[in-house]
Amino acid sequence: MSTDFDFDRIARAWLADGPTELSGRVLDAVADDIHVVRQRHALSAPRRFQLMTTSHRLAIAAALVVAVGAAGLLYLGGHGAPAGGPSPAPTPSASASASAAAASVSAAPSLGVGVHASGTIVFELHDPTANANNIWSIAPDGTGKRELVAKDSCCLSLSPDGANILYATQTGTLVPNIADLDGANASTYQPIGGPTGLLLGPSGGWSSRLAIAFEGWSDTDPSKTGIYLSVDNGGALVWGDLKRLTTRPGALHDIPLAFSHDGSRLLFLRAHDQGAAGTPGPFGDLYVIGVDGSGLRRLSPTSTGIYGSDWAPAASWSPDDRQVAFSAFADPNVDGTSAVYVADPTTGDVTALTGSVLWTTSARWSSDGMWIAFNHIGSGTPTHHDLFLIHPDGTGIRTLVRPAGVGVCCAQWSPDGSYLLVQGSPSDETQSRLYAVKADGSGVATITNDAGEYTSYVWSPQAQRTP
Amino acid sequence: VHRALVELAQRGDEEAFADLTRAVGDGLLAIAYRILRDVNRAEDAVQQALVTAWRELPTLRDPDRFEAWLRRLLVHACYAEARRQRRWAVNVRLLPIHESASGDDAIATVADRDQLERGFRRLSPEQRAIFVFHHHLGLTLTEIADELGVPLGTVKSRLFYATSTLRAALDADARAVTSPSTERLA
Repeated sequence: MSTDFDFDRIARAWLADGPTELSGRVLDAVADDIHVVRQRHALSAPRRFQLMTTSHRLAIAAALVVAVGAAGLLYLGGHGAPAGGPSPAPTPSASASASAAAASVSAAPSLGVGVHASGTIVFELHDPTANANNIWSIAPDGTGKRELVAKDSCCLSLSPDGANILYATQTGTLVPNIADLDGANASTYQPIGGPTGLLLGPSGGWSSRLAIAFEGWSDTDPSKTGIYLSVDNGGALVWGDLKRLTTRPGALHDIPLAFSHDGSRLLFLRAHDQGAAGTPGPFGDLYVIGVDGSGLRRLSPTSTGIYGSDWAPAASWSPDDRQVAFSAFADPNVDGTSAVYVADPTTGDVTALTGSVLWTTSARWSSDGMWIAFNHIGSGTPTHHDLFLIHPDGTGIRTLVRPAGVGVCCAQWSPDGSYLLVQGSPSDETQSRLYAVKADGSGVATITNDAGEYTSYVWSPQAQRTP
Repeated sequence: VHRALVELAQRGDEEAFADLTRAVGDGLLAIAYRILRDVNRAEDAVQQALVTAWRELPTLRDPDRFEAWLRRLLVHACYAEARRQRRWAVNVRLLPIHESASGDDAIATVADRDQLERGFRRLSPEQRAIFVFHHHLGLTLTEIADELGVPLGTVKSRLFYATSTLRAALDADARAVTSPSTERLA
């Protein structure tokens, strides 16, 4: 055992190492940013105002009232009443705007052109000005973009029928919410049962039985860490009672990933770490468990692990729930060595579909069961991420798209299986856009031209409502 | 020295704010790096914190509290950065191991550093921040509670957990994960 003295000295020596000088690039970027960012008005009166007399203040206040009223009348006279128009688009940074123009040439020239699919795409996009992930929706043809949630959000998923979204807002604390597909009728989850002081991230999404799986923990009580289920008790789309599914005391979490289609089982990540810098998220073992707590089984092979992230779901169920596809990395992961696997969730038998390649992510089973979509870094210089399809028996592998730049990642199938929704970038992942790739490889269309970080996205079969 | 610059910046003086960022930038990077363990991410967090500071600066009531207030903004920027750990466009980067300039280098061996890095990865951003503020900045628990705006009890529990985890990482590789006995792997 280390003594306290040894530990303090070792910890201090370890912490003493690190960079000593902020780069000029950052200072320049800050100077550029503050030039366009307006300062917030002080809540307290400035000093010079405090020196005024009461009569001066009243006079200024009266003048302000008159001025605001006049401005309002002028506005209404010129524009009509501003009733229920679409929300403004996010404001990308200057560098993002420049990159957006480049992407429209290098990737797919036309917004949504050629996308013949129905439904609504809902996505989380990072707003660098507010440092928040806001939720937006857009039609597959690139029209009708609107902001649904103007708060920092995470863990976006769809209800089984695609008519509702589930997400958590992160303003101060984590608060789960359900809303209509257009963002209306948002309701906040108040746990019924379960321990107090619990934080709940709805990362496991929604089951066909209307249960919701939460990653649960407490910042002050590690004994509360585990997966919790909100079990519907009314047969309707409502919040239900909270019950605990797994127990994982400590700071390392169990993170729910996906329910089986019949809602009887849940895939989850049992994390080894909190998510190292430069990785998609926490790293750990893939497990399956029945929603009644039975049948706990590890699926990822020994000496491998998977990453948990909203944007690159590492595991998915086959349409008949008989198999699970996942991408796993060598553990410890030092160079991205990884492969796609298929596992039998009942027996635990695992088969590698691909040889060891680099940086494999996002194994997603198509709705007809014929294909598994995944990414890995392709050959060539510079390296970039390609999108592949492979049959569940390991045959028929083919490259679906090899775009310019750093490539594409993290495919989600459209509801009818004719497209794959991916994010891609001509420069780096912070300048990504969403693209729809034809599943037969015959084309790519740009869905969004807002360059940024797409932290999550889903494709609902339900059409957008007219605002 | 900073008070006059802070007051000028509060009134919208961009040059004064640029002078402030040059004066405090290195210190902010040092804190952010120690929480995030990644230079690029730390720089992103510093940039975000400074832009937020510029926007919110008129609401700062006491200019003498500027640096403490800025550290709080930085820690929140680090939380956001840590939770946005996402890298699909690059290979996993090895954690950097720097040569130490301190005389304690003989104590913190390469093996120790590796174990500390592993242990640190298991901590939440909140626990990391408390550990860095206490062991690197040398703040007392009361000072940390005041600066970060969290209850003293929370600071104590986070530091206890962080210390326990890192001690365990040093004493042995605590990463033994028990596999279910029913597992069958091909």
